[in-house]
Amino acid sequence: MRYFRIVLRKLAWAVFTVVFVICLNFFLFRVLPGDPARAGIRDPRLTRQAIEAIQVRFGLDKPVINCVESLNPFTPGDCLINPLQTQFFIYVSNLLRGELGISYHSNRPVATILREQLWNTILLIGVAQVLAIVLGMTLGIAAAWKARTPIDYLALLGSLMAWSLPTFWLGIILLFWGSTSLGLPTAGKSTPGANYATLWQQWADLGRHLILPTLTYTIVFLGEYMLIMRSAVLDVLSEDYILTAKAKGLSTFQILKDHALQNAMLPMVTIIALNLGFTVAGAIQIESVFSWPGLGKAIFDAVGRRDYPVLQGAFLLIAVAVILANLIADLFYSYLDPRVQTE
Amino acid sequence: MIADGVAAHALTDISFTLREGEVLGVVGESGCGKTTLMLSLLRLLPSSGRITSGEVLFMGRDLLSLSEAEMAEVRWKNIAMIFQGAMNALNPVHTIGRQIGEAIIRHNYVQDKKLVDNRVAELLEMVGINPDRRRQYPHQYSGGMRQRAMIAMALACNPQIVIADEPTTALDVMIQAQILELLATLQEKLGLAVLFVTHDLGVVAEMCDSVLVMYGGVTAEYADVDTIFNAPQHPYTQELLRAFPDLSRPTGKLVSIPGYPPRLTALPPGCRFAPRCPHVMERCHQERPPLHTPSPTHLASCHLLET
Repeated sequence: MRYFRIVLRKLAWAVFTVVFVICLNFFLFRVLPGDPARAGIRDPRLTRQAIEAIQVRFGLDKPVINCVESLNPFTPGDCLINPLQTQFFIYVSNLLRGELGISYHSNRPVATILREQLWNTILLIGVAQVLAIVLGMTLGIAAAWKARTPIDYLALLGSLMAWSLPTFWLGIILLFWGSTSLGLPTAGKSTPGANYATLWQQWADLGRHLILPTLTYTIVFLGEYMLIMRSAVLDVLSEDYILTAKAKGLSTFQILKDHALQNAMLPMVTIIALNLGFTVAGAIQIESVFSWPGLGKAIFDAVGRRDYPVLQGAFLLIAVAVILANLIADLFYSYLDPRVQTE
Repeated sequence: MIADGVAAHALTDISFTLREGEVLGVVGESGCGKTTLMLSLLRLLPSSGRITSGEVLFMGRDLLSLSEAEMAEVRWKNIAMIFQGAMNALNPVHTIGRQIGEAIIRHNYVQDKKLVDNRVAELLEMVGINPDRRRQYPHQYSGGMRQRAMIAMALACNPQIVIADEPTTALDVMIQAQILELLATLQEKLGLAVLFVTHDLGVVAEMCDSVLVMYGGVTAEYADVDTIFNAPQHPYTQELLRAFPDLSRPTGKLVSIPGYPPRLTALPPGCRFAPRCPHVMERCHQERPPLHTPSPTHLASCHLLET
């Protein structure tokens, strides 16, 4: 029952944060200068009617939110219109129906564009994160167990190097090495113009395309996870209750498994959640280097084209991902550490 | 023991005997090696510490010559330990019941899962905790209850020896008294041999059969409790007793021993107590005093005893 109330409270906070983000995200892109109609004005070939048509198509003919003068009770202005006709309300009501507007650049619905690319990003990040978490944690535990031995120093050196490598540089090096010596594909998620006889062939081709970006991403995060896991385990191993466990006659393996891991997982959960949330966007560098058709590349391209609706949609998606990841981390936290529940 | 990068001997020349059902008090100032001594008995020293020589004989077996796996069998089943400050000695993410049950399962004290649970309940009842609270976590316990739970845990496998390392530090006076009473009752009831580490001489007088007084990592004096309190031979024991407030003279000024116990990395060459000793002689600064035996059951290391 108490757990249920915690879930409810955390959920309420998450919803509140999402609402706040939606508002902020809306006004951010209304404050920014430029829209397709204004860009069109500079083109002498566009007629006035054509410009107006563009404004109507993207809903830019309506006021952003009701005019400010009408809010003054002493000299009420006459620009007050039906609030349901303002851009803000139209945006929110479209959002509730799952529509994110129309791309300025491609004229296609933003939701459709983002949906395709989100899946590609999740595929890339999902595989790489699982690899990085499993390998990083295993290495971290091993290094902590064998602390101050050659194994530890080697793992430490490798992880520090992996952590400090610039992502794009590592990507380019792997791209160069992978495409020349291993003959792996360098761009995209499938071979252009390929005809697959079976579904299996299609998956194999996708897998070959995934190898290099996944490898880059895994290496970048492996180091961080390993270092944090190592120091968390070492921290826990110096606690008094570890000595108690040892005095009870438990073996080193039992102590690690039953007493050290659950406590050492607490900082890891925070880091993993933060990374998962932010890496929906953080794959920009890798996706650009490997031309992976994911969300990161969509953001990168949209910035160049000033495609505000796509950016707005992507930002909202990222914000929701971060909030969701934090919510999950919070709930997982209270599962791992009973002390959290009573707060 | 490695301290500040220098190898130092934390403990030398310590010898004592613990008989069945005996309570041996180990007293001395902080930093004189009491906890180190207790941890070496169970071979639980941190990785920087090593036992270079000596024997720990338990029922005829030398614990120092056992393999790590054999030693793990002895821990808790034969010799259990109550740590100072049960705040941190219990794992915050497991229930009290699970942590007590873990020791029972480890040493196969009882086999069946249901029986383990029963034993946990029985142990908690024995130390005065409502058995229903075995499903709670350490943070839901008060300081005194945690120490009680720690005692229950120590008794889980019915050990022959319990090492109590300052079991009442960080508890308020009332709770201290309750815990000590509980320990005394259980000791008597179960016929436990107890190694009781403390710096409270009042507790020693009340609970212990014999006393080991340590100073700077060596034996200062070792005798039965009456001898220690009525006829102490070592100046350190005498000073320690003088520093203990006397209830019959409540207006008397509190006495303290001037100076500090020596650091392990800078031990004086002669007697370790020489810099603070009121009866110090020239030779005390150069020559380590051997253990003298004023009577067959009495050990003291002081040059004054040489006659």
